[in-house]
Amino acid sequence: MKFTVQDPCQLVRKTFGDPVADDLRYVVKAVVGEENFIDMWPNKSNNYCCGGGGGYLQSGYTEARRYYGKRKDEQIKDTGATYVIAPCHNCHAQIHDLSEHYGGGYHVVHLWTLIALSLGMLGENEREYLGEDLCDCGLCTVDDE
Amino acid sequence: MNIELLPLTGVRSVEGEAGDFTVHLTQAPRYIDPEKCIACGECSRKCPSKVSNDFNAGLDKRKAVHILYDQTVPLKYAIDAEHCIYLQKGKCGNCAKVCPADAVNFADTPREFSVRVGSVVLAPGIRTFDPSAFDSYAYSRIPDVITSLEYERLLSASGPCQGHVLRPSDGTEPKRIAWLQCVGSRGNNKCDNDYCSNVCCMYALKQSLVTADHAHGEGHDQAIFFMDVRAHNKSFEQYYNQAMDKGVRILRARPHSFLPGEENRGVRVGYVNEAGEPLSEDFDMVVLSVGLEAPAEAKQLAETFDIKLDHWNFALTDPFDPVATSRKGVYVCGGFQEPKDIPRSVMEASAAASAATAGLTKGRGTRTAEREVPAAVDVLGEPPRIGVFVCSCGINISSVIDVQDVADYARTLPGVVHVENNMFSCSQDTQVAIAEVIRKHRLNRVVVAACTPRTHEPLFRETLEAAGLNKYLFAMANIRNHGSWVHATDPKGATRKARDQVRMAVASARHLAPLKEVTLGVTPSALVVGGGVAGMTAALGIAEQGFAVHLVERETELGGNARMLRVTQGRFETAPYLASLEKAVRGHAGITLHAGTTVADVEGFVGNFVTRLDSGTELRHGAIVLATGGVGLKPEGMYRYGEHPRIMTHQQIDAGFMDGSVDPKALQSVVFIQCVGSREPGRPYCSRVCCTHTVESALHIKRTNPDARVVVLYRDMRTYGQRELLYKEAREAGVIFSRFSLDHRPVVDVVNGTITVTFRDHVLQQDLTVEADLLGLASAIVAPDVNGLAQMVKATLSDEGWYVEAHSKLRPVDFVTDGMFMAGLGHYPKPLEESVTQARAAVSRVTTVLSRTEMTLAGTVATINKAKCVGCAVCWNVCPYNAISPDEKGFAEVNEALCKGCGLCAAACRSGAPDLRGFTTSDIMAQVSAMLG
Repeated sequence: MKFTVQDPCQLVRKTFGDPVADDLRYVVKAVVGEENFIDMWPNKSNNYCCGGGGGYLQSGYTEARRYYGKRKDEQIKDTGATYVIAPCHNCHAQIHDLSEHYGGGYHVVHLWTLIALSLGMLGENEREYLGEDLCDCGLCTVDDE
Repeated sequence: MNIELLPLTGVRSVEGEAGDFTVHLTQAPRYIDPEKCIACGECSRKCPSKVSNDFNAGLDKRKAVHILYDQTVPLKYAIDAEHCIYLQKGKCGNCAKVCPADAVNFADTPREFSVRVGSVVLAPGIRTFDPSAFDSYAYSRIPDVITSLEYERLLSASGPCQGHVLRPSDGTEPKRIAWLQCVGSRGNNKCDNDYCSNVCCMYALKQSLVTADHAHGEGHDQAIFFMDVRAHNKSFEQYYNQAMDKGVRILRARPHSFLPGEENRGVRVGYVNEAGEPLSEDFDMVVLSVGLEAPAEAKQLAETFDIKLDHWNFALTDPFDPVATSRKGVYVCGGFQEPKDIPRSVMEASAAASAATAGLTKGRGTRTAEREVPAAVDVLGEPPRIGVFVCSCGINISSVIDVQDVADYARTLPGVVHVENNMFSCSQDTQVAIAEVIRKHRLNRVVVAACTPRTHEPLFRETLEAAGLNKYLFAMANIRNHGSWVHATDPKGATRKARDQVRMAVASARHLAPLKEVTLGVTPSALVVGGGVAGMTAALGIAEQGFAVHLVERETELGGNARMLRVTQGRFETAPYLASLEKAVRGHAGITLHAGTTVADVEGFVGNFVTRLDSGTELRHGAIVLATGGVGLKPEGMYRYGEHPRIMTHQQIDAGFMDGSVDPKALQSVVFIQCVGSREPGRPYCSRVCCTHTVESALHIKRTNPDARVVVLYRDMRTYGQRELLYKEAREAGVIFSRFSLDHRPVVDVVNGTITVTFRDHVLQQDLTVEADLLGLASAIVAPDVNGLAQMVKATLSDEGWYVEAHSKLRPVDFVTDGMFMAGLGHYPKPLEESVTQARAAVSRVTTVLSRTEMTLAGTVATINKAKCVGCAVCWNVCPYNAISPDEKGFAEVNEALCKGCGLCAAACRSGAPDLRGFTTSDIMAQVSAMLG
């Protein structure tokens, strides 16, 4: 199981740059384990836009939006990761749609979802974006009780 | 001889003032005695300490005891103490053991000393931008992303792979190569170098063209990713066109990503083309065209010399006095003033020399020495002992011609006693070697098979003199220009031709005789033709050097084109400067002004010209500066020029700004169209000044009236160097810049007194129409008709009418004819500050002529065999220099001072009486026989 991470434009490229991208990776690696992390290329301040920003997700022009996201989709597929961690809800929604539309089949999760999961405090009703391999992770089974 | 080289030396401190500085210096230890070192290289071969070789951009290794490169001046080895095993640990000492000259001195110490000088010239150069900190360029992550300086070394014959480029990742030959322009230049995002570095467009074109020339076989590709191609200087645009004709792809795009290829070999380049389509291409290698920065020691230097620096740590200068720093007596030239190319650096160096000596004229000659030439050995009557030197010219010759074969062949020729091959026959060390060989083998004729005698004959002749041989016992075979360059695709044929050329040169050499030279006095005054900024600056400079000047101006007023210029470099007003310059010129006792007249006739030669003016005045002078200027094209028939009073050229707009008839406050919509008559098939050059001029005018309008709409329609914005900042400021002020191509030129219409301009917007890919209450046409600068003058002084003009310099890079202000120099627009369009620089450079060049008391004339003059002469008068009628006249018996006689050795008399005479020394009939016949046989 491999995890990659999206660098949201608003957070990284346009605001805090590489330092926050490094912080992001520090957290992600702590959560998923360094050996399970794979970076996209290019990354950090040079990472690509998801293609869903600027109001595109709400404004229609779906075809154009997906066209702009194609590069992001290919970039994710190139990593071979099964999970994309998106620290921005806008990126999350766009990449989720890209995975379904282009058939990549990778899962897209919020950063907090994985933090909570690794702390063992992710609620049962907060797991809709997790794949089958993780959706039961850390939950008490009936047998345990 | 009057230059003392002080290598490894730094400046500790400076005392005093202009005219009398004391400079305290520290010379670092060399550990090799330069007096003893013979540069045999044995020390370096035996040195076990290998160090990264900075000269080859770290691409290979050198030894701790080393020379920087093969042509280093002075050619003496030095020990790099930091990496020397003996100096660090007290062991080894191999170099000292093997040195045959006992030159190694491990006990060498730093030497502190002081020099007293009148002026100081700072020329510390520049450094290239380091892209390693900017990860978007992937320079630190992808091995096949390299800098242009590294590529330059890879491409060089003396570089780490002898000119056959191999890429760093796997040592294979890269076939598909991309260049990325503006790396560390014009950067408003991450790096702070927001100026244009001036040279990168041309060096990228050069590198791509050289690469294309060397590419054999299939699959080669050279692509340049650029923002604007700034091919703005003389012949640059033609070079750009040549590169495109050769198949170099010029892509207007800024790649967004460099991704590693498979196994981190090669580079995948992601970019968006002009139509907005995202594309991705795989290249074997990417070259980053890195920009130029102020040198690392700039701040230190500025503190030591107490001069001011600009925002980027370049020396602060004034466009009206471009080589003067903020401190009197301290001058600057080259990249430290502003990033610039070789011709401008060379011009600036001469300009700094004239500025630095202007205040020191009283002391001229008091501390100099004369070159002593050993008495020439008498070789008359000796059988020919010919030495042949075959030059590789790096790879310029040897990549096509088999120089070893040519050398071997030369050994078989009669009279040849010594043959060798040199990497660069013209280098300083080779000159010394040739002189030694001449003495050792008692050579009495020398043949160099290399390049053109036009540029290199004087150098080799000096070497002959130094070796005690009459300098006319020398012949050249031009196997580069006439061989490897023109027959690049036919190495075998070129080698065969080179053998023929060498055989002919050797045959010629056998007939050479030692010649005597005549010396004549020098008239210590100069003629300056043209009273614009260049002419006035030259006149004033020459007068400041203590020589009389005749300044001839066709019009009754001085000032030329500058009178029509509002500002230079965006904020420096021209008029006050022009007024003070004119006042200085008119007020200088050494300058005689001849206004309202032209040159009718020029006779004579370097040191002794006689010029007649239309006014009838006759002038005697030793040197000539032509500063005849350029003219703005009246763009008749283009963009409706002439059909509306508000369709104006820059000169007209500037005049309007200055007299108030064009009021920026009253303007609502202004359009400028660039390249009007420039960069067109009929006039394929860039006029250089128009982009900056447009930006200056656009900014003037925007500063006065921010609500005015200003649109600039351009092809490439060529606001080179620090002019880029004006372009940036104009964009920030809201000026709209829209690019057009030659297939979609803007269309101008005048309907009911209203000007409309329709242009294709390159982003929308749609036609837009704007109304304009002022249309500025950035019309070309063209050469005036100076054919008459050029013929009088035998000056060459280019196809476009510009004066042709003796060498575009190395002698950018000299004419081929001795004693004649150029300055200003007559040479090529240039902004005012560069005209000032070139004029000051001309001053320096003129001074080299006028500061001599006598002039030696060439020995290659005609002689008359009076036994054959019948006094028919054909020769003295045909002689263009009036050098032949009848003697008291009516036979022809040559005035050797006037004879230029053109040979017309020898060709015209029906009885074969004249012969040309150094180029005799028997010599020519011998060459012809050698060629046929």
